[in-house]
Amino acid sequence: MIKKWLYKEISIAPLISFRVLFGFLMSFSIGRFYAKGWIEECYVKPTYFFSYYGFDWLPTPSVEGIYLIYFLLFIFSLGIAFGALYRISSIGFFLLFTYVELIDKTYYLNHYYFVSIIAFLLIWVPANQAFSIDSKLWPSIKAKIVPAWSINIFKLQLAIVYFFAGIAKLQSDWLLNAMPLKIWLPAKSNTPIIGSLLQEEWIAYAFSWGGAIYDLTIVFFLLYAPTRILAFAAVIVFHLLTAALFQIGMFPYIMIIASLIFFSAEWHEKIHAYFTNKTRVNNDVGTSKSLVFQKPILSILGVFLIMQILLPVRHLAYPGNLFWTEQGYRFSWRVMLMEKTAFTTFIVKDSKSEKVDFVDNTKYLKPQQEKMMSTQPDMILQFAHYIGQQYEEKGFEQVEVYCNSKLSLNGRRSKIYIDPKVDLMKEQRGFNHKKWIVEE
Amino acid sequence: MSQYLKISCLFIAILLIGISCKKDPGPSEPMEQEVDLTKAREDIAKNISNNFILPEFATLNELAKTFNASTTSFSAESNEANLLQLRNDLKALRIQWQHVAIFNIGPSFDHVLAGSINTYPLDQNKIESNISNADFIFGRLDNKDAEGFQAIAYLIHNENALDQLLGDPNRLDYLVNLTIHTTDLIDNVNQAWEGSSYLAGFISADQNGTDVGSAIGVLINAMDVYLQRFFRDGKVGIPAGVRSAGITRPTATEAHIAMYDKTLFLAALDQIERVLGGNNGNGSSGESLLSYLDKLGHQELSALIRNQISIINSDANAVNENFSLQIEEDNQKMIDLFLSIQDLVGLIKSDMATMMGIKITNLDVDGD
Repeated sequence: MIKKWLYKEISIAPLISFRVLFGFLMSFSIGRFYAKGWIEECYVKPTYFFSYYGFDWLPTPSVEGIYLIYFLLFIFSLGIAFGALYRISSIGFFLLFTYVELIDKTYYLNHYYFVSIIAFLLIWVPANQAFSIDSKLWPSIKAKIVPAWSINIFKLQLAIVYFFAGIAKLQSDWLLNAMPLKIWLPAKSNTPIIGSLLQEEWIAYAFSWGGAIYDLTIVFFLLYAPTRILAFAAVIVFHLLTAALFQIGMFPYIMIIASLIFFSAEWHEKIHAYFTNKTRVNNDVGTSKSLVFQKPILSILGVFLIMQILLPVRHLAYPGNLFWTEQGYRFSWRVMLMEKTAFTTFIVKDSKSEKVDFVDNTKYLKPQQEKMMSTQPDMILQFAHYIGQQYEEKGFEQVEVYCNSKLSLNGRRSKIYIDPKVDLMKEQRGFNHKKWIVEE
Repeated sequence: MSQYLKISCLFIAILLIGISCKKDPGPSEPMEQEVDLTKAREDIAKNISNNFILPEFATLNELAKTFNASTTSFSAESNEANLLQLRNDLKALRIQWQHVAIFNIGPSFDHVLAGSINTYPLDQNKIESNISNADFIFGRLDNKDAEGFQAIAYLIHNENALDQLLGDPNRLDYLVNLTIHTTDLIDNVNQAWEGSSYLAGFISADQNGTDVGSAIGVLINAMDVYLQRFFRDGKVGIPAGVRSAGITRPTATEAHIAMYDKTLFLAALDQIERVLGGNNGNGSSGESLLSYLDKLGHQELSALIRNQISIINSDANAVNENFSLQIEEDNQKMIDLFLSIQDLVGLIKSDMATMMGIKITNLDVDGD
């Protein structure tokens, strides 16, 4: 069974659609990011960046550098779409996109993580063997057939995303308190047509439960041919609704496009034929080109998939409420799951002279950075260390940094978040449990 | 199908485990029935625009004109009585400033009004050198700490003010021209508010949501900046030394020379309470941030906010009218006041903003 799932020779058509649509969607996304001035706001204006643990060595880009990177991302995404210098384009896109995401935790989004993953997977699949500039320039690579894994891996990836997103919704705040939708939906009461409905309490519960059921079951309905069309309609409705109600950028559209991978090869071939005005008469099935390095590629992908399954459950290694402590929160498909705000301030003490200074966060961070830092302990710790270092440079000795933070989770009254008596300068960054997070 | 059956059973098991964990009853009272939140938000915008921004800036303009007239009188006849009148008129103007300072948005923001007329601490040396410079022009970026209310106060409030002004025509000139410059600025901003498309957009359906750029989003973000930077830090924290390693800066208070810091502080606090509560103190009231909170079912929170304001009020009343004196005599009371304001900031930018779905940020980046 596994052998069939991996090696069966099937039509390349779904992979082509996926590659082309993803490529164009990415080029649009990159253009949008530039057009909104976010390159400037996110990567040029700040004076400090929250690097990821283990990636502190990554250089921060210069002004010219970051614009060049975005320009290249645009070019590479078109390279993917057109299947032009595909291997270079896909590797280039993956490396540069991932690099940009690794610059600052502030802008972490599950959907950027998803883009990185898809970009990674696209590197290894023979997606440029048809309908591409590469296959025109180098006709020897042309093929109509690919091994099944090159398409199934995307289905599996989507299944992982939906599954974990669904599991993430199986908790009391979401299901029993309809939080945070009970805050978010009334806040969108100005939406046309459905606006006044969104103020009703029962709607928050309906959307919460509906969302959970959708995430947990949609992949099955997409896989099962008789329900596929209806399932895809649900995909469109669900994601367009989230696009209308929340500001989550390109994520809904990426998910809609990606879900097309579940459609049959015949369906995709019909679409291609429609766009290229060719009839699908060609019954020359051909054989897949034997992929060089297929076994090593599969090993890499195997390891990758295991990681994909382990990452979202790593939070089990930590005590406490995941939503409160956020240890293991990122990279686990917890999408739009909580409303969290905090007022987080720091005091720096020169323990030699007993001088005490109240830190003005705005001197070091942009508003968006301060907002994200204030609710995420790893960023709080990182920032504490940074301030400590800044004060040392200003002449403080034996610097101690203390944090006063009050946090509100899913509509609860704000409570003390970080132990104000712990000197954060003495705490290590890393994967160890952060004992200085006050219990909820 | 047995594959699907196995997986379905797994799902149900996980579902049951998930639900059985942590039954926290969670927050909040139920929302008011039959409430129209979109209209409520529009009403807040209208209330702020029509009952606060427009009339308060108009009043500011009136008082500035009055002050200007007094300066002209004083210039014509420089005596003790006219000097006293000047001081009174300046005080009234500065108190009125407290009513508009919170609205550092739109035309006020664009004209950098706060920076131009209320920058402190004052650079006294700079004023003296400006006075002796015959070609001096007002309004330069690097001259903000030698202009505005504090500079005017410097010229008219010390014991020898009358003699100094009588004895030095350059000094009198500086006072007169500075006054004209200041009142012109205020007039420009007032006109900009009256004719502005900013307010038209503010109260329109385009901004009746809760996203970045919506009316209440702008209002709460402006309130957050004002509360932190100007109200808490400028008036209290920085002079009390919280941002200078405990080394106090008693001359850095808002009205160090005129010595009525507490009056200005309380006027600002009153306005904060009025803006939050929607009653402009002049007979008009309407929908407000606190009444909106109530509509969402968060009466407990709006009560907490009102309570915190009274705590700040009593902490402020325990302090000397002259903050500089208080800092020198017993700075701890200033620190206490600072910390009370911190609590209010937390309630507004964290608790209140979160309940309303408002983000404290300037950037409309995607979220998830």
